[in-house]
Amino acid sequence: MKQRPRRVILRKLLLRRRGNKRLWPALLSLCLGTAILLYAIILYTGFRDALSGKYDKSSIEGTYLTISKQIDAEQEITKQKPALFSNTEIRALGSLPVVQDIGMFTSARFPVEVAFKGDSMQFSTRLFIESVPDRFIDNKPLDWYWQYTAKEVPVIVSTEFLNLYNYGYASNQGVPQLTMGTIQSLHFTLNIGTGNNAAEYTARVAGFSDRISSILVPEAFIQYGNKHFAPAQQEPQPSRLILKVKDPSDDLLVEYLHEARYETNNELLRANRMRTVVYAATLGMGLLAIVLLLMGGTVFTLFTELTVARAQHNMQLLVQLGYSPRFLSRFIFRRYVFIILAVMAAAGIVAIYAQVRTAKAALEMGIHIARFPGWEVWVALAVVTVVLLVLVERKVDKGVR
Amino acid sequence: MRLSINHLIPLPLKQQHNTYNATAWKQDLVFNQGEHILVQGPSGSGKTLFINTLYGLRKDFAGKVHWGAYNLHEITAQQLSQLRAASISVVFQDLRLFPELTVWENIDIKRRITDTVTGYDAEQWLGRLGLGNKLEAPAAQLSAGEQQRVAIVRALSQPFEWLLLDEPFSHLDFFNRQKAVALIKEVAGYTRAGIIVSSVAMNEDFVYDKKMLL
Repeated sequence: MKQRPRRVILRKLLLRRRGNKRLWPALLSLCLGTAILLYAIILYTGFRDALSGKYDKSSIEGTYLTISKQIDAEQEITKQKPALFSNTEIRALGSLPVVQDIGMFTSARFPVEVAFKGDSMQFSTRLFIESVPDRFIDNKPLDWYWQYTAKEVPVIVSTEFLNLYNYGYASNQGVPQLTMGTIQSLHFTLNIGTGNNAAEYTARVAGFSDRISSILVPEAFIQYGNKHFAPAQQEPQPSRLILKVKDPSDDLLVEYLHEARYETNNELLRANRMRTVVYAATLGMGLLAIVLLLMGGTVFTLFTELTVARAQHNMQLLVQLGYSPRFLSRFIFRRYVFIILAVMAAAGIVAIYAQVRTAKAALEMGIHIARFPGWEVWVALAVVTVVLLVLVERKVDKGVR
Repeated sequence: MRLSINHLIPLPLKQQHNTYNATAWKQDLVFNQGEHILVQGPSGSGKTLFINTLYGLRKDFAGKVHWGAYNLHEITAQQLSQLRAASISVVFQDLRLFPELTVWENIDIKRRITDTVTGYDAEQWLGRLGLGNKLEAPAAQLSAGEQQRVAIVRALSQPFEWLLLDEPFSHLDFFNRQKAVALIKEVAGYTRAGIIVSSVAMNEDFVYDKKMLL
């Protein structure tokens, strides 16, 4: 006699397929609800990470903000009161919970002139140079240092300046556009000081900064220059500060900057508005997901109750033949474990796909978010799975008993 | 395993039984393994009630029933399952086959609980009772006599120390009855199992050690 596995016979007795069509809407609802819940978490965490600069280089300024004071009309006309930050104001900014670090721009107080003599182009211009603490520099070059004996000075230029040149000046004046590599290969003459108290150096563009709109040189060079080539005067207070913040769209920070009349880039405010919209959208999605989960979960558990009730007669007879109620409830439960795990796996796959697509779409907008779901998503998936398993196990156990 | 019965009386019979005629109710009885017991009484006298009570299907009785150390009033569901799977087997009066399963599946679902009886043996036993060509037939399509023979083979398809037979041959003709009795004696003899048979009439199917009236 051909042997059939016992589970096949038990399935025939306990898990008849009649009425299983009703199960599909419940499973679909569970899968959709879980997928939407996970996607809401993905959006929330993705946007939160983008704001906190976890994956940095974000176009919404990540964690670094450059701030300055608003210039009012009186200052503009009289030039009597420069918009500088006092030590008290710097301390007050540093005490904000959202501010993790604060750095000051140090400007050169000596004359600076840069000159270039090439075959097809020559120029000479006065300009300003600044320095910031090294920890605030993005894309810091390996050779970013200077000693007073060195004749070559590394310089970091804002990518905005390069863009201005390539897409504004070069197009307008009919001169060739330049790549970063070309610029980095050029050497400039850097003259500092005046009269007898002057020195000549060679300047080389060592890198470009997305973060800081300025022409930066190492702090050691500015300090040396200010000491030896600047007119004797006290070190002035800084006019610009660079802040490292947890979340540049933080309501408290936005409010503080507004009230203190400090200026920063507009991206900050845009991020703040975007956050409100994204959080509202994720909250709506979360609520929809919970409704779908409740509906799907209710229908699914009702279905398990119905299955157990339909199998009641055969279950009693199996118990009379020597099967233990525990064994039978495990047998029925195992079937639902498989179904629940399959549905949750499907929701997880949808979530991974959604995250990959979202990350790609966000990258096109210049926002960096993780390409794969973070721990929050997996924890949510695990919680939904465990809750469903516990609910179904209880229903089956109750039915079998 | 010893079966001890102390003052057993099912609650439905408490007010109506005739203590003078019955030798099963409200008695102190001890049956040792290997003994053959006949429980005889007319229809409605409580034979099925007696068998079902011993098998643990009913809890509505006064007195005590002990299977070895297990008191049926205190036994857990798990212990009762173990007892039914490996120590006590039964042929129900109403047979209780699964009509949606085939003959073989009805046997196999019992046999696979312990897997101590081989599929070959079970198939041979079905053949001896004239059901060798009906293994794949749905139980629902069998005659009452055929169903009774399937129920007998099912009861033998597990290890047992006691076999409870509730009017087991009521649908069988003389020759099929002889074959069934021979098979039961043979299989029960392997382990010196005890047998309790209920019947409406006296019979000499087995050599009875005790006979009780209901």
